[in-house]
Amino acid sequence: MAITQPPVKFTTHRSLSSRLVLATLRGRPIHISGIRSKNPANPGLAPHEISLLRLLESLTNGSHIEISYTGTTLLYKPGLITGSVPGRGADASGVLRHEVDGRVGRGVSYLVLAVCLLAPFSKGKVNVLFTGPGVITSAVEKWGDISIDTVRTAVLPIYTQFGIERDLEIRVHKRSNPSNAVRGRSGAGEVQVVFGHQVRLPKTVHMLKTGRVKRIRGVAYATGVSGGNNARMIEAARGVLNQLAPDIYIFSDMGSSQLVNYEKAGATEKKKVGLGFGLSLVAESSGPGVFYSSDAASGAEGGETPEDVGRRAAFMLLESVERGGTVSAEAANTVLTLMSMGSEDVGRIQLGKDVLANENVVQLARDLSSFGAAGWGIRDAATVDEKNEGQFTVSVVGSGIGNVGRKIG
Amino acid sequence: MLGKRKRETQVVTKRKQEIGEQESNATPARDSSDIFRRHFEASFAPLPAQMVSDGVDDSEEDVESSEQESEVSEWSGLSESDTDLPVVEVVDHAIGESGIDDELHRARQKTFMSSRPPREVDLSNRSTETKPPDEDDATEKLNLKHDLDLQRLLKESHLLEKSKASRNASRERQMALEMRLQAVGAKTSVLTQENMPRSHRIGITKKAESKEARRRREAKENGVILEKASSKASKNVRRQRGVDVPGVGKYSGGTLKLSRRDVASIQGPPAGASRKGKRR
Repeated sequence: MAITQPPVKFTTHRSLSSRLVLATLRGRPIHISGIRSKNPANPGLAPHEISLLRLLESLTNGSHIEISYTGTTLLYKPGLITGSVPGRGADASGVLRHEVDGRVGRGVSYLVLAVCLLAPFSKGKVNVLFTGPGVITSAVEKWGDISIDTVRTAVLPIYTQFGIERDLEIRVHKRSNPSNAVRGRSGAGEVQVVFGHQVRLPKTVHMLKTGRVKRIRGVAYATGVSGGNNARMIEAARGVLNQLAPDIYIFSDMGSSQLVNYEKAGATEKKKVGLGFGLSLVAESSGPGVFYSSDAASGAEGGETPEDVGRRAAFMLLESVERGGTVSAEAANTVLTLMSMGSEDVGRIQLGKDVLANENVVQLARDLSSFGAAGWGIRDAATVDEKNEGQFTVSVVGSGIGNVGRKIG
Repeated sequence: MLGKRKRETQVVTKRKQEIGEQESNATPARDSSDIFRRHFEASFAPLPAQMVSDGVDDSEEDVESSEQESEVSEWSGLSESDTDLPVVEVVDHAIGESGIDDELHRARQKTFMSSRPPREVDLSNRSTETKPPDEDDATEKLNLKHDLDLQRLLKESHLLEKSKASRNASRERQMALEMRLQAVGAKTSVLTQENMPRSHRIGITKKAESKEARRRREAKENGVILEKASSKASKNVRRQRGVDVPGVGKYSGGTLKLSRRDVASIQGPPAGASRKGKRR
């Protein structure tokens, strides 16, 4: 019988996805208690967390999940990450279908980012199709979730710095904004994540050069509403950004919304679900792998003009650029986790003050040290160069675990 | 009546409108829209530039008074550009990103909007010298044609010699085409027969083997020296072992068996090995 380490104990629902992903990557069981135990209305695990647990179960082999009766305690013993193996979860063509429950109100980027973190360390290729009544491809501002376009254009290119670049694809088959039109259904999108590059160890990164923003790209998407909204959002964003960057180009993606069946007084009727529009902006800097991004979307109840949405996205992008650093707040979790899974070498990145002081990043540092990883070295970058005022150089030592399935004796 | 539901209507007087004026009299209003308009104007100030003057109510009293005037029309026609016609502001949201050539847009779209994460698209990387300098295009084409013909003649000359000996011309044409395809870069040949009945294939290979054996035997008997015999099996020796298997030893039934040599290769040479080795 294999000798197992005692489970790492955590409390509360904070950073739950990050903790589950770390446990799976490092192969250590975790025990989380007190998950929303003081919440009278919705105690225990939330629907998006349960969806993530199901996803982890189908992507891994031999994982063991125990949830208490009330749902406030979770014991997770991770297995090996196998990916989409035909016959075990995936269908004959190697595509793993993950049905997202209709009660999940978060954007699908919540699940996609977790998959993208696990996929380079899997034994086989990863090919997951997110479908079902809960897939929302746009940004969800209530939860602070980014849109799937931002994941593809601002987070995935950073994987190139780690040596993971081939066969990465995120295909958006259907778009959807959050909707509350039909009960039991919060979205009607469909997203496929193909991750075909598995590595033994991610490369050690030294991303210390922030550079200057050289171009701004973006996607304006409109689902089920007129395409004029796209043009108006682009015009509003350009009104803010034109004088600041020379090369701006925003693409326009227009699509129809999905019709879903729902029961009304016994008869089945169809209703349009997932209407809305949004804007995703990415600023690429001259430093390698440096991306700042922002997202804005219309609310589910509507009432916001596209000009407002476009301007909001532009100002949020400027705020993200102002925070600075080589890694923005959206990608900080991903980059720091990948660095900690690298070889036993020191990797360095530069984080802005507000990015480093963000509670997610601080909690990630604490969780990593609970798992037994080495602490981070944080130094004021202004001591090296006067220009880096308000930036911090974070040095992360990898643990050398990497991809267990790819170890060669 | 506006709307489908009956609403309580207030009876108001018809007067010249000013902001903040209260309705006090009980004379019936002409229109229910008037009531709404007055209510609206009571809450909101009018726009600063009133381009189109609303003379409907202003002229209420004027109309009444003008009826008493003489029947002779004083209409003398429209004055020429007397009043400033309201300037119509056109807001067109349908204008896309214009002014960008198709090629650039397509290149950007290919990198950014495909399902892959976007890579660096740099127009400067693409070859700027796309077209040669302006020569006589006709002579250029003619030169190319001559070059091609000469090359083909040189390559297929031995085929043409054979065709002189009255073999079927179609066969030589096929061979010439096959040569050209191989020169361009075909991996497999068009002329090889991929599928055939098993008995045919066995017969063909057996015949080829017997011919080769006969050639070697006859050459040996006659003292002719031939090239060394090479078998096809020796070419495809290396086989794939799998990515995640251990690099040393045999793995079977859950056990990794390491031989003495494997252990030595892992451990490396023993500590005092170099003393007896070659030292200069």
